Amino acid sequence: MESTQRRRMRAVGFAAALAVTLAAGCSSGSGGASGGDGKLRIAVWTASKDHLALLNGIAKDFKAEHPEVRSITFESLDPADYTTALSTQLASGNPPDLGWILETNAADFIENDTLVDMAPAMAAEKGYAADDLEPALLSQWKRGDSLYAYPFSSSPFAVFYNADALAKAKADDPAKLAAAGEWDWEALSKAAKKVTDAKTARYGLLVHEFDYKNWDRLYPVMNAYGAHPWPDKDSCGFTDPKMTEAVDLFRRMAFDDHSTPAPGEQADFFSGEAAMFITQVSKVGPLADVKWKWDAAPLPTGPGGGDQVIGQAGLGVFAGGKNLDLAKEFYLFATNKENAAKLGQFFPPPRTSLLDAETLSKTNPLLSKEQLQTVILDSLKSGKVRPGHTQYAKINEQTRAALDAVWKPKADTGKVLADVCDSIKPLLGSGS
Amino acid sequence: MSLTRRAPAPAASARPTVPLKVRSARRAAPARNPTPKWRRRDRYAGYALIAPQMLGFVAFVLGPLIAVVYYSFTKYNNLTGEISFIGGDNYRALLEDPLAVEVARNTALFSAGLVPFNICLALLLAVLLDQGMRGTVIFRAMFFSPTVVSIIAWTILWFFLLSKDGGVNLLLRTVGVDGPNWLREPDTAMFSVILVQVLKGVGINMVLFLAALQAVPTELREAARVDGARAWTVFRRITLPMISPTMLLAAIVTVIGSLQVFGQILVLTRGGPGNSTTVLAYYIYQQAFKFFELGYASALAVVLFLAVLILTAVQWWLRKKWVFHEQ
Repeated sequence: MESTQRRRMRAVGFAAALAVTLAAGCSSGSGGASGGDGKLRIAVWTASKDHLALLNGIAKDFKAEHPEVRSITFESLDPADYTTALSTQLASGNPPDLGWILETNAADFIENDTLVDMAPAMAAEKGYAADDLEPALLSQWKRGDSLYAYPFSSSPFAVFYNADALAKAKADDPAKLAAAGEWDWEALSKAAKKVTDAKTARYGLLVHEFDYKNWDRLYPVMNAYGAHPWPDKDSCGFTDPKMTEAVDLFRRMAFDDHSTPAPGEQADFFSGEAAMFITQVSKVGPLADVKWKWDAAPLPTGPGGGDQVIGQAGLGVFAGGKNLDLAKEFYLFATNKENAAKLGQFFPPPRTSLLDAETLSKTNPLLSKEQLQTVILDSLKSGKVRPGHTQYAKINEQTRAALDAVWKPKADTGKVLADVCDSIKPLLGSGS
Repeated sequence: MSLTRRAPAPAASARPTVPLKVRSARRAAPARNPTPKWRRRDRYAGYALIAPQMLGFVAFVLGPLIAVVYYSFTKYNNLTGEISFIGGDNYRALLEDPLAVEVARNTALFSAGLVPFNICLALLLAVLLDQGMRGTVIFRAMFFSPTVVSIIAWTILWFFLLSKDGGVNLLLRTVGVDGPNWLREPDTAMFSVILVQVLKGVGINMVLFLAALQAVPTELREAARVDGARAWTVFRRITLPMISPTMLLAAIVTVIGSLQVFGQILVLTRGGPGNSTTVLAYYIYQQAFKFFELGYASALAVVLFLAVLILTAVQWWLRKKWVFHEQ
């Protein structure tokens, strides 16, 4: 009886303690939002050790100058769901102080007043040289004179290729074709087919992160054919015959030539499964370790011209952050000329003074000066930034869903693309 | 000890509520039967014991449930955190949403495919395992083990098995069949998702049925056999009615689970191809976290809640028609 009583009391005590702990846990979650704790949080989508080492190096220098900073943490969010994770933090009232923003989502973040206008602070900062920023690279991030993010990465898409696999298949070398002005999508598809037929790699071409889920990774093909998903924000460009041509070229490669993975097929460029890889310079770090000879060429041209395509990432200060002043200071520090040059190792900077092969080669050991000139510097001159839009996530998803019907061996491309327009037109019209 | 303490409450504490006037007239009279000390202590102990669970329930179930109903009448901007009351606009938008019909159809298709498939397979496996053959324990563990595997791990594994050059098609190729692109073709994507979910969840229903089958008194079956009933008749007339309460429970739980399917869709198809596997729970996620329409997503969640409530009520009401007894 005695022991039962004691056991019971112990159980009650334990339960009560658990309840108190739970209640305390719940309340501390919401009560932790005290202002200006000196702990800077920065949302990024990279988890690369090299990238984080570089960023933490910059953070360390900043901390040395600002003793009031208690810590600077780079929070790596999953790149596939980056904007989702970020928006969830914003909705919960616990936003990071700064964060990377994808160019395609820039409009959503700016239109919703989520980001702080940094133009006045940049103009006022001594030695910052705000006029050094390339105006063409700022358009996606500006509204009037206000600048809402610094496009720390203005990275052209390029074709990185396994020169051995192409040579063995007796395909022409893309860089040489580009130098001769003969590097177009037809030439690329021919080279890809040769590789697949000769089996020197499983696939001739792999478009990074496309996987029939992220249709916007095909923008380089569309652009080369002179097509644009929404040429003037309110109108739909999928019914343009040039778009049909671009999509049909890719369909031919996937379903007739089998020179690029079809839906449901996987491949990895760095392990030699594909001979050519369309991506950005910040994503080709593993090339340092490959055993085969590789090179890089600009994107192929097409009937629409030779304009290149740039992917951008901006660094912005969140208006709802707890350490607004410190965050602004860090923004100015991390994007000043010295640190922009450091970031240039992975992310081509938007500063005119840094955009020459000599300067870039100091921080970018992977690419030769010639490669830096042809695939980055020349491309930045004619580059078009990948298109974004307000309500981009919705437009993107509806386009993805409607486009699915075209990714099969037999499909009426024109009809499917008309369906895409029917699906997204109401959204385009309601955007800014 | 505990038996004595569960004795009926004294008459005073159990008396019905009386009108105020009468009560005040009685106020002068001394309380005849005050709550004994041990009973009060028991009550406090009881509250303390359920407190952790109740706190968790309030914080993570009841609170969000009420909040979702409130949010469904608002426009909630994820990016700014601004909330504005917009009345029934989200529900009106739901009626005009062209995708809502497709989503409802997909959800119904998923449930209609999953529930009978799961229940029939679980019953079949349970009956086979109930035969008392050798190795039953191994088979039971085999069929039950997917239930305890993480849903994401299970689904990722099946994603690779069902991809174009995955294990399933390689197996089919060995017998000369060129398998479809299971997850990328509209005709096979929904079937694939259902199959993956059935294989994951069939074990739990199988174990429930097995326990129910083993509880059916042997005399009943023997008596039927003595009366000349064949195996099928015994199963249909004796076994099935005897396990019908378990079947009701399994049906309710499986229907509710089928309406909540989310992780499998996210990993396997992301709602595609087209929108052919976009079911309600996935659509809610898309609206809330992809399109930043938290208000609209909340309205969808309220609809899902009502759908689960109504379907459960209907099954409960229908039980009178086919459940033989209540345990």
